[in-house]
Amino acid sequence: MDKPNSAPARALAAAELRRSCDPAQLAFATSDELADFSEALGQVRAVEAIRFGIGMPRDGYNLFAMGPEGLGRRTIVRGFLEQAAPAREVPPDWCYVFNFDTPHKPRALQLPAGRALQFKQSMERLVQDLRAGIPAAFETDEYRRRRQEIEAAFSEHQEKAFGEIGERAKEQGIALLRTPSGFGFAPMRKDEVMSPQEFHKLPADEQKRLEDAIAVLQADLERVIQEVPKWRREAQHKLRELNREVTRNAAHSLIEELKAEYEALPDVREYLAALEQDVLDHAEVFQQPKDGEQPTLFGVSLAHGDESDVTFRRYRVNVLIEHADAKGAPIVYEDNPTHDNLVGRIEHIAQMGTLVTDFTLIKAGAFHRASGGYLVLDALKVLTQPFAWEALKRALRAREIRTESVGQMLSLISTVSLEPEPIPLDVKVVLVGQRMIYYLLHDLDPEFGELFKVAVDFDEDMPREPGSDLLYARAVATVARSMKLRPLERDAVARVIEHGARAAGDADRVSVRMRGLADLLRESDYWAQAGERKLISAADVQRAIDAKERRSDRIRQRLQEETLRGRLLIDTSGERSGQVNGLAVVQLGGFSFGSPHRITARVRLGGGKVIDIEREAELGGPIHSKGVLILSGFLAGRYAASKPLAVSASLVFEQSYGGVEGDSASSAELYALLSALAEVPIRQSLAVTGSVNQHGDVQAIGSVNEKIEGFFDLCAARGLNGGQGVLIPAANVNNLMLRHEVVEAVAAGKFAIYPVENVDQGIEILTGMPAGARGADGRFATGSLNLRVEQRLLEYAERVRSFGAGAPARGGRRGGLQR
Amino acid sequence: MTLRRIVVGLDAGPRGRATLQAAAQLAARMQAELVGLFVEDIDLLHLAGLPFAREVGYPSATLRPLDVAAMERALRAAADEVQRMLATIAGRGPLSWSFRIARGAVLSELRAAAADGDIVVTCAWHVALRAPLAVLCSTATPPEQVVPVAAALGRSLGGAVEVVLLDGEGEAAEAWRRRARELLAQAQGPAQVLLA
Repeated sequence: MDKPNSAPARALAAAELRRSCDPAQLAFATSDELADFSEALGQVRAVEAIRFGIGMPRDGYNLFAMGPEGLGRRTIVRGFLEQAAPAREVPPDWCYVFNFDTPHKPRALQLPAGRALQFKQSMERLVQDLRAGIPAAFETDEYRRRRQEIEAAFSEHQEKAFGEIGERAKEQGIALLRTPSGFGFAPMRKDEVMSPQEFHKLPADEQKRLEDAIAVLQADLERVIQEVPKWRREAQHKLRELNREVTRNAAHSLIEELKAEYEALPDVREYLAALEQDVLDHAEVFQQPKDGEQPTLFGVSLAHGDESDVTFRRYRVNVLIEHADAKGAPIVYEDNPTHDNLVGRIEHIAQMGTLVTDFTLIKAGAFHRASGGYLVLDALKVLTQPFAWEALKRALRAREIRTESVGQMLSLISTVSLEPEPIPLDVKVVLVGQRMIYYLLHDLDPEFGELFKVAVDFDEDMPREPGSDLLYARAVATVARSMKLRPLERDAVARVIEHGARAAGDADRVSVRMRGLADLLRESDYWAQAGERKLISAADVQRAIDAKERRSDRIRQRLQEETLRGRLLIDTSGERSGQVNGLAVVQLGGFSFGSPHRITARVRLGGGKVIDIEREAELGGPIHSKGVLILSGFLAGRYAASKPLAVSASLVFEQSYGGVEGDSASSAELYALLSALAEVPIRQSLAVTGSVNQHGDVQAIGSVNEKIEGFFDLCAARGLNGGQGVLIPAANVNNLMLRHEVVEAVAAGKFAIYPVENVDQGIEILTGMPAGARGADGRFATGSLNLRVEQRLLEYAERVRSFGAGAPARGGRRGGLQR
Repeated sequence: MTLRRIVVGLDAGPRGRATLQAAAQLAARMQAELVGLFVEDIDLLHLAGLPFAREVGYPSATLRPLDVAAMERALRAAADEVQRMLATIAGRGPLSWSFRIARGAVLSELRAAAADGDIVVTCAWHVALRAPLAVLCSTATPPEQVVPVAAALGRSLGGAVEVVLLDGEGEAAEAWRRRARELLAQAQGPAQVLLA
């Protein structure tokens, strides 16, 4: 059932149109007198969440700072991080070193904060000392002599074995000869080898003896020759042992010295022990290549850039991350969170047309830098960089940093590359992003809720309570000081606060978008400077506001010009039925303004349908369509509860060539429709905003200030006649924060704002005719607009019934024919 | 009195090549003619002609039969190889050179070459008994020519050089050796020269 008809709406007083900030309640002369306000203004909920998130040491309690741009989310979060970070321990340094067992898996070494560089230098010094010490040890007479002994022993052994066989052969009159590819035995005569002819002249038993003796000697020689490789191996083994011993003597004390320096670090000691073994195994690299000789392939140097020797790269230390001068935990903001910038990357060097890499080319990412502290990332950037989001989640889940390329991660490349040992990750991540991203991630990514448990939801505005204006004033003073701007006069601060309320679109709230505030203060300061003033005055603030609006309002001005020239048809005087002034808001590049639109309705006999021409032309959005469909519900419910709604109506935003969205014009559409049905004209000096429900209640809408000012500007341009005004939903009265001109016009009785609770109040103002309530007999009062509407609908229903009564007769005739 | 000729007993192995290189450098420096001599060892041909001729391969230690034709081929191939080697090495500098093949006992042929008053340089095991390299000469070649050659070769090859005097007996030989020792004592550098 409809609510009973309420009392007629009264126009608002000027004082209700704007909640001014009274400078008198601000107890200071200039903003310089105010103490800094270091807390986050109006962000109590967010601050509680940040404190909790930072303090919570458990896994998964990472933060998502959400809210629209310009609130100062990053600054506020950073402020809290900067408070918390110095109290925490400085995280350890990390290095990558060569893995002597599996060279493609570089080892990660952890060192106490600030010691990585020192370790790197120690290792460089060690290699220098080894390069000097080892060759020197090999150049000693002792080494030379021992080496010659081994070589001589081998030759002697060999010669002795051959010599023995030669001697044995000689005793039997047989010579040992060197053939082109080995040895042979031949019988001798005196000192010369017997010729075949001479041999054949020998007695048969002598020939046989020689042949047998030679066969035995050949077998002995074979055995000796088979032994030779073994002797050589033994000699080589002895030589290697000698080399190791000499190297060890030269290297051991140097390495032990370093081990003692890193006594408390077992990993480093273990690495140094492995290094010592490697040095012993590769003693030869310390001797060659000699000075000036570089390794080459087909005459091309294989050396890396400025390196004189590639061999010693394996003994280098790649300091991945070090905190020599750090105080407390690191705070890292990664502006370009690509996959590689997060997890680090493995670089390559072009060499002989191929790309090669080693552990010295591993570069740290944001995770490495932030480990042990805090990492602040922009959510949208992380999500738009390929694989960055996956990398972030994987690192947080595994609590370790695995440096690998995207190609490796996806198994797209199979060339040999590095698999660096993962480094433990202990980091608190703060993602900063829009609310929509938070909700989407929550819905679509099951892991998100697990990893980002702390939602930090920033408010756009805060209530204007007693005392809050002063807090706001302190925030203004703090921002001005931090940007080294001129101090503000008290009136200027009051004007800034009023602007904050206007930006919030609510007289009872004030915007806490710090970027907008900072912009306003900077621009006000500019005008104060232009006026050569030492303080920013209220006039400077107003000028900054006006100038900013002026810079953006070309389209608003053009629209108004077109209306004044009569090309856009908007009446601001006179009366017409089925036509009302609606109000739309245009939002362009951060600037929004109200713009009046003519809404018309036509009615005729039909099937109870209200046609939304915007929707039919696909220019209307779904919410607009919903608003129009509600009108059918209202009409049917109020006027045709027990009869068919036999009307067909069409509604349109005239001269609208773009899309129409929102339901804030639905009350205007209803007034046009009622006016058309009742054939009662509507005053064109009024404009209407507000949505309506099926009971006829007028509901709140957004941007009420812009809408009122849009119509006011047009009326003012044509000349205010005292009868002009705007109908707004009563629920929007608290949102009023109108411009001074409007307030002054209302005060002077030249313009009026009517808060309306329901359609009946609205139509009475628009038509000047009482809306009329149903009496005890269920009928609307005589002479009321509602009665006229009901009678019209009844008339339509009757006509439909009379059409319907004829229909069975036609059916009967057809039946008769059949008979 | 300048040195006319240096005869090199050629051998295809690495030591033979080093010897040839050293000798070629020396000959070029002394503006002497370089004569490459390859001896087809008659002993090997005799060995190959025996009915039970076998060769024990080194270092493979396998026993292979030998015959004269194969040995002839092997010696010809060796001669070709050393000739090419000589042409390559000697052709590098302004050097007058020639190549000669002799068949006979290695020692005899080398001695015969030295008997003509030339210096013979060889690394053949038949001659170089106490050192990797030997210089053969007769008393007809004065020690003033022989000693510098031996010392230079020793220095350039980094090892000992044995000087073998063919007519090693008698007064003249003793006088030759005394003079050679004096020269060696005066010689500078680390070369190790052994007098046989």
